[in-house]
Amino acid sequence: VIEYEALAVFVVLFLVVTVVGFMAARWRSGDLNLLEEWGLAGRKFGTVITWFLLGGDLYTAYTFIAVPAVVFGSGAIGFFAVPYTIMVYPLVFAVMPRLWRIAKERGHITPADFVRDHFDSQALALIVAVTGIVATMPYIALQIYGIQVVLSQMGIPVEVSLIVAFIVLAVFTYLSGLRAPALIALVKDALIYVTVLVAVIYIPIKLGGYGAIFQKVPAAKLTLAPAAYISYSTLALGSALALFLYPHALIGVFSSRSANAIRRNAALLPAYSLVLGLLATLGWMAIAAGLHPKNANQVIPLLFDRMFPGWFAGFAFAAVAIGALVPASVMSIAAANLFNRNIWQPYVHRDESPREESRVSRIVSLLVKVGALIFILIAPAQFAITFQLAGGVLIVQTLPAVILALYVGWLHRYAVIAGWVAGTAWGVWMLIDGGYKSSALYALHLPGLTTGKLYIGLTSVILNLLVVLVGSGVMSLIRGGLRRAGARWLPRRHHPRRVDSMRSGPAQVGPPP
Amino acid sequence: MLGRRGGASWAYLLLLVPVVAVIFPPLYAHHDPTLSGVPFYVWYQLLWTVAGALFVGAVYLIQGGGEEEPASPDRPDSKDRLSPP
Repeated sequence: VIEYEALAVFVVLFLVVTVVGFMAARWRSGDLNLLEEWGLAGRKFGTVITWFLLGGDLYTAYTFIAVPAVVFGSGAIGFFAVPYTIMVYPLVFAVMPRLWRIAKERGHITPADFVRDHFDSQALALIVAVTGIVATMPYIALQIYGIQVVLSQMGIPVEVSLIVAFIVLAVFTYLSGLRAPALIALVKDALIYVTVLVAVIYIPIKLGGYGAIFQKVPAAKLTLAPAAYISYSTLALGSALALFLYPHALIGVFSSRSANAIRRNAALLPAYSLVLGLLATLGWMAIAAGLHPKNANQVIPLLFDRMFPGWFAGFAFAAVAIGALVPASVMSIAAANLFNRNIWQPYVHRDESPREESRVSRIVSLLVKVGALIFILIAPAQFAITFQLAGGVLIVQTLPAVILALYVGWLHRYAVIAGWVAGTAWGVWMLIDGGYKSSALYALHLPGLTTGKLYIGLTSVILNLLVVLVGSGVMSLIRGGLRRAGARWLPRRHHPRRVDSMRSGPAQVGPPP
Repeated sequence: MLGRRGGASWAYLLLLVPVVAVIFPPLYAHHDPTLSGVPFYVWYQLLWTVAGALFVGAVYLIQGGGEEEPASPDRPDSKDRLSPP
């Protein structure tokens, strides 16, 4: 059944966003033929725009669909998204201003640029770039899946409408670059805030209040079983470590105007975490409302459909669909920049002109999205969900190269590569051995000890870190030993901040004088 | 290294408070006390989304966060607002 009232509101809001996306090219205009302008919006975003962009980008449509769906299906463990987003911002505050400063001074556009420069290693940069792209692709597919879920709730032909929505997304990203999602994020976030606030007030009124709702939920779904404690905290901590390694999160850091904009955002972005937490409670409300969706991921659209009048359901659906456009756009830009700067340029087309550089990124961003769309149209959504879960385990393996390297000066590039190999291999092995369970949990059987079910992302990155630290230690011992033995032929130790072609003169890492 | 700006590097320890508050589920995986019908498990964690932000904000202020780094003259703060194209 087509729900015309909802559809009308949905279409109007979608049109507004389309116009905004196209206008964005002229907003704070810069030369979009330069990659720094197209792909990072000239690094000009202040506190407010960065807040909207990162909020719109990190709290994706899929998150808004999936988090309440997990609470609905599995109960209290699904709430781990809340401690996860609580833990991530102290980390952002401590780490990201430093990364921002180096990126700004050295002209890095991607995390792999930083790695190439810092470790003077093309291979390690390639690893980071490929990991970023592989982890991002299924995430983009899931955004399109998020649109699909709300479209099907409205009863309109899904494939055709999905292609229309997709063309809008592709064209405005191509034309306006990062400015488009940043500007659309203003609309998206306003819609999301209104939707969630109305939902957490209006739905409990209809269901007889919070007390009545939580009384109807079976106790087993309301609190965590002691056996799940360790799963819960490792999921939260591992996910928090992974979030700001995703290329689409780092692009929001790199496009900021100042380190202070990032610090302020670390204190202001938790507003979205509160919204996410409130939204997660909708999963319990759906249980109390006695909903039985065919597919758990349909539960939020179904709840909105049942509870809200038609026009507001349309508003809420538009919030989710537009909420998918922002991250999908940012992710495709981030993936395209990685491909361009760290695969295409070093290995295929060495001397790209600035104009070509921008054009390659634009075209690749288009291809990335076409790939994601085709994937969603032909493969079961479960594939994308599984790959995205694996993506979290993969991306966290870049932690030593991107974050630890900021603090530990003696990391050796080969040790970092070895750590990545070890962490990735073991992580993927656990995922496969665990049968791709939708939770990415795995119990370790150590000699004399069997652990509870731990998040694979966390355990594998701990192995990774051990290999990196031990390997780097061994490398510097060998080096020191050889030097003492009088080996003058040894090259001088690579100094990460000096060897670079992008900028002459020693770069300084401290605050400007 | 960490506390370069503003000096007060001890303030970074405050960043650990929100992490510690939520990393041990045994602390809060209880139904009671409820808050107008909402289980402790739920409202405690929701409360920490706000409290966590306050801790991060406090560190920002203790570190002398109010002082803006010198911005380049062609990028004034007013650009933060939306201006017509």
